[in-house]
Amino acid sequence: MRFRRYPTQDHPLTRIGLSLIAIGVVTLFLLLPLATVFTEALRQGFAMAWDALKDPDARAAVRLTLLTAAIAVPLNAIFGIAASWAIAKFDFRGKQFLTTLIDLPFSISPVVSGLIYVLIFGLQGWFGESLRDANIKIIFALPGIVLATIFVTFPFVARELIPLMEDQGRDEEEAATSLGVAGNRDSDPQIPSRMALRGRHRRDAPALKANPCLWSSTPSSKSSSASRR
Amino acid sequence: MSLVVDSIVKKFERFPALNGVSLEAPQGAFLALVGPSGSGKTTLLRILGGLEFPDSGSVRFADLNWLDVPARDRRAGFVFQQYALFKHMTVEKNIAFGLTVRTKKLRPPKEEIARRVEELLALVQLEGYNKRYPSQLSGGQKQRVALARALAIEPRMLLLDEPFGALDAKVRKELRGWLRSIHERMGITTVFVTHDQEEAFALADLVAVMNAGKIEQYGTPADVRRAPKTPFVADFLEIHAGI
Repeated sequence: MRFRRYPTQDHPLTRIGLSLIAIGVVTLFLLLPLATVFTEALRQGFAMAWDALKDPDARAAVRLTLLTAAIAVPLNAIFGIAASWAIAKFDFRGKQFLTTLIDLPFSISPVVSGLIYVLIFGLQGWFGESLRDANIKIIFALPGIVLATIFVTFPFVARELIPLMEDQGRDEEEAATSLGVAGNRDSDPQIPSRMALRGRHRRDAPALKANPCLWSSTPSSKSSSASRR
Repeated sequence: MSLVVDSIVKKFERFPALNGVSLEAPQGAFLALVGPSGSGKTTLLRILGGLEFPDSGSVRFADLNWLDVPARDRRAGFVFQQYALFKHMTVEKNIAFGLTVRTKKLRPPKEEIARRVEELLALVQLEGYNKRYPSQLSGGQKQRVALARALAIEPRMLLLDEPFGALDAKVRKELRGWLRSIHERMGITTVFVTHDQEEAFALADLVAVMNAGKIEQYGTPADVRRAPKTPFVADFLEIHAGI
């Protein structure tokens, strides 16, 4: 019996081959390192690992990580929402430039961005000497770590929100205005932000059906809305 | 309380959207703006709603210099082609929105709002749909909720931007008759934008045929149909009459 396939389905060999390559890459580069970390950490048993965590150095490292995240995440949330709102809901000169800037951290190697910080805040950098004189430490200290983290993770919030907010359009804001809502540019600031926060859960299914290319413009919301049905 | 639009000019990035548009309609009129896409009909509607501002010209309505009234104070109920319902709110919250956002002084008491929502739901024939979300409604139902929401603020003017454009022919015909009956009951000055001349002529008391930012002809449907003033109007009526 011949194997029947849908017109868009690839040959079984292609599918199995591609799957194997994907699984191989994931295993080699993601799962294996993760497994190594755990096996090495627990090689001498749980008690030993627990003792290692009590080490002051280890605790300092954990604290630093959490502190950095606690500073970077809220800041990125604020800047990310502000930037994506500006881009999605307004037309202004330099909009394209701002969009490019937001993507910059993705295209710049983290090594290069680190070098930039060193060139600006390092001892030989622009502000190096004046910072040292004022006794402010940025590079190789918490501020530098936070700055680098914010820089690297900045696109995540905006990249997630812009397609969603663009998809929602300005109609709702205009409707709110015509219904008497006051606010900047005569619109309710609550409407877009609340919609953005809940939009991923209650998307307009018929609109998506009518315009399937919306799916591709918001890949991240696809899974959440599909799983709800 | 009549509506007077006087030589409105509006340019977008150098290309003119409205090129000196003037018209007059009595209080309570049902006015249709009809024309091909890009003729400026939606821009004119958005100017009436305060969502867009002309470069020059004036609008008088309700004895006011209408352009000086901010959109939120115009009480111009706007109905959008894509419904523009608040997706995160239930039907009843959507309808009540225009009342609940008012400042405390102007806001009706809770019971009054609830009563008004019930009334409007009955008017748009959606009793019992209070707790639904927009995503759980059909296109026709959504547009009726949008209309109820616009009516909740007791609008001085009702502005409809291709309200039935996204609906299938049968639902469109139903809603058409029903919109007309609501207009007759409430007597709100209504401006209706459509590219469908059959719809415009079936619904409106007055029709403005627009083309390239100008009104080609303005009058009652019967007059326009009997004596098209320009070749464009004649052409426009003929093309669409065949469908």
